[in-house]
Amino acid sequence: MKEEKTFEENLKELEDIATSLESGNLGLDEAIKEFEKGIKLSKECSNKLDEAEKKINILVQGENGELKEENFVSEE
Amino acid sequence: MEQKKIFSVSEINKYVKMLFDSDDLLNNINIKGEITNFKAHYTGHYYFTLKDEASTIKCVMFKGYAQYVKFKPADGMKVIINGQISVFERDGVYQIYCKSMSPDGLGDLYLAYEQLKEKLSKEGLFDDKNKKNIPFLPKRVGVITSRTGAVIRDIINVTTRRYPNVNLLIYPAAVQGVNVASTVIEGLKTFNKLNNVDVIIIARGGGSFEDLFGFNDENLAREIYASNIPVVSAVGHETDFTICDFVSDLRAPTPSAAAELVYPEYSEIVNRILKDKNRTIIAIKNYIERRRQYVERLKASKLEKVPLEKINRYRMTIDSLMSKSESVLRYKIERYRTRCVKSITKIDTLSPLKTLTRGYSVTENADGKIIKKVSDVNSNDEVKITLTDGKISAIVK
Repeated sequence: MKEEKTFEENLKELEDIATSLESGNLGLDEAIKEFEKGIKLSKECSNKLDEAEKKINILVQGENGELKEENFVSEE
Repeated sequence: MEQKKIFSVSEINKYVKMLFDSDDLLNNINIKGEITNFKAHYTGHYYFTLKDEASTIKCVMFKGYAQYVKFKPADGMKVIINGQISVFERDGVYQIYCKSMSPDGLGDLYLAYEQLKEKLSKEGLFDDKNKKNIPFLPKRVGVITSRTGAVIRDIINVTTRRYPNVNLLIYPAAVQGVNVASTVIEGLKTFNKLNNVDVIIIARGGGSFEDLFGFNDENLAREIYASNIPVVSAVGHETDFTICDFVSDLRAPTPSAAAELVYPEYSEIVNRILKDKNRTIIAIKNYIERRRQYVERLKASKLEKVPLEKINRYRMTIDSLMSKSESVLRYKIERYRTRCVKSITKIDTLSPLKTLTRGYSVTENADGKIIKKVSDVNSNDEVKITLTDGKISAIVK
């Protein structure tokens, strides 16, 4: 998996931004910057949640022994 | 005819109990059999039946003894029991009051399990510091389990209930028999090679100690330990422990529980994002309002005038310093200019051009060399003569 910021880290950062803005200890420029970052993060997180698509696959061996994914259908 | 004595039920049960209790063999006896109808009562007592091919006998093991049993007894397990056979007068049944219990037949397997557990534990394979974190919201989850049966259905049901857009990739594996370890190892290797999931669940439904024994494999344990992708073990029920459970990064009591552990509740995350977003918006509004009020107060107060006065004072100082330095510069420039004019006049008097105006001329040969003596030229040499207003060519006679 790629080494980008995880969803959880983004969630945590959003929470931290809210907390630090609430503390009111930031300079004006910094506060505005943090606010913009927070809104961006909340959008990103929401998008990430909805961009995923339900997918349930199973790995099966093809004729040449190579692995391929197929849609999984539950066998009763 | 002699009248026979008629006993009450209680009396006869008491009598039978007395007979049992006076028998040395029954007082301390070892019995082997298979456990069935096992119930662990919440009080800590065990109730079960011991059976062989033909018969059954009721058993009870009180908490005081049950707590020393090293393993979790379960239906189908073959055990050897030590205890006393006595009568439960109320029901008129005899049963074994167990004092100890050890696995029978499984003996070797159980020993192997204990030894492997100790060996790997000493090597540090179970240490918490080596356990990887399970991602909070996996992009994709690998599931190593049987493609048929309730386990995969449970996992699909529970995950999709919590998080509608699940992304599962199933690796079909044997979960019973001799191929368990090899197929599960293959699954782990495949996921690590494809590197297309960010958590792996190894799942199997409940079963006897023997059923689950495939998960007590040393190679499997090492493969789980070596996996770069975090592994959740969900083998058997809550009471079943396997080596696979100990070495995994997270143990789930059941496959359904594993599903809950890897996928967070969708609505909870949405709420969390919304909550923090609103907090951010309200906080910045309050922040700006506070700043505005601060500026207003500052304006209204007398303090406002003090820095302005200071600034004006500095401004005047700067102005006077500027004009001072300007006049100094101007003076210096003037002096340089005078010196320059003097130098130019001097250079002008020494210039050869000046000499030419007085009627002198300069003669050069074809190579541009100035002719100073008669011996510098030969007859028929072409020479150039520079006069004050131009040049002429001439031939030496």
